[in-house]
Amino acid sequence: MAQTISSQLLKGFLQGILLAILKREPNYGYGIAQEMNRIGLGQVPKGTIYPLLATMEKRGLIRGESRPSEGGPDRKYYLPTADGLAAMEDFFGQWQELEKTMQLMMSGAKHED
Amino acid sequence: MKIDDLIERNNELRPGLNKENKAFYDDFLVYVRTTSWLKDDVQVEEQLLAILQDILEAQKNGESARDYFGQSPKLVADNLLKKLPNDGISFAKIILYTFFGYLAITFLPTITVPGKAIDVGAYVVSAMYMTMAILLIVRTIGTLVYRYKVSKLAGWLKNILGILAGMLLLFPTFAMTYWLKTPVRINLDGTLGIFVIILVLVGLAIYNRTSQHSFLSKPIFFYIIFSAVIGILTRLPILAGLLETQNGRIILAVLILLISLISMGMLFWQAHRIKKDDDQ
Repeated sequence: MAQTISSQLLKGFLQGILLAILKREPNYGYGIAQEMNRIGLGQVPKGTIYPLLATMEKRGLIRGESRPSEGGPDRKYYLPTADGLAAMEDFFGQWQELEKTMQLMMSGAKHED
Repeated sequence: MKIDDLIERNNELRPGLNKENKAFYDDFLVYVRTTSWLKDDVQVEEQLLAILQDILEAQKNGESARDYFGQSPKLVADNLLKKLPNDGISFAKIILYTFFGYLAITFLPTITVPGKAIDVGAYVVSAMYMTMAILLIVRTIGTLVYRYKVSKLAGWLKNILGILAGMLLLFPTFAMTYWLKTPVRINLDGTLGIFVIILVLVGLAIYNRTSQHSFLSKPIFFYIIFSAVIGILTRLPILAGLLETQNGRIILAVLILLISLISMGMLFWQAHRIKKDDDQ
């Protein structure tokens, strides 16, 4: 049960992160992985990106577009849709609420010490 | 992009992987392709190509496929396939391709020797069983890709067990051909037989030539053509009497055995060449 919650939390978190990355500029698998490394998510195995991108595309949060890549064949670039941007804003709102709660919890715990 | 173009691009790019990454990606490819029969094949190939391109880019930046992708490629593949849409047509194509492929390869060798009626019913039933057996074997090989490596059994024992299981599964096909009797029989002796052989041979040649990927490898095509030639020769009135003599039957048996051995040798040589190219 704990693992399910943790895995759901991670999926929601990663989905929000991917939408934010793609909002900045359309990107493909490896490009997204590099962005994740840059913002401090280097520990996340990048294999997890692919099923998540497929889910997000299926839910209409992002869409794929074939674009030429540097010196190689076309790559599938992902772009957020209007629904995707709304989901990202929703995620940021929820995260802020969660952060406030966590801050309260943590400062409460410190006072108790 | 069409499925053939996606597969062709994948084939073109794969040799760019180094040995370690190639082993990693090949396992992933075999696992995904053999466990995704119910999925939309175009979307499966799109994902495989995108992942290959990303692993190649990671390799260029000094990162191994395992470091980039993570330690659980099987889990990623399972999760990815769950998200892709189902497609019954892709599965039907696999079944029909295997069934008719089996018929195409075995029909002419089956009718090579004249003088006995062909049990079409038994032949079709055995082909249906063979189709299921081949699909089961391929599926099992794919499913075992990741389990095989972690198994503690010795390599040679795993190979022998695999070969035995395969033989056990394929045995009923040969048993059916010999022992199953149905009333659906046709006699393909004489001119009718020659006509059918030529018709099937021309059909196969045209299909093999026009399809994007020749589905008959050279050794198999060689075996089929020689079976057809023997089938035609033994049906010619001038040579028809030959099969009635013991010497004639021995010559025919030796000829068929020789052709089978040459074809098998060619198949092994071809497999060896492919493995050598892959290792380079």
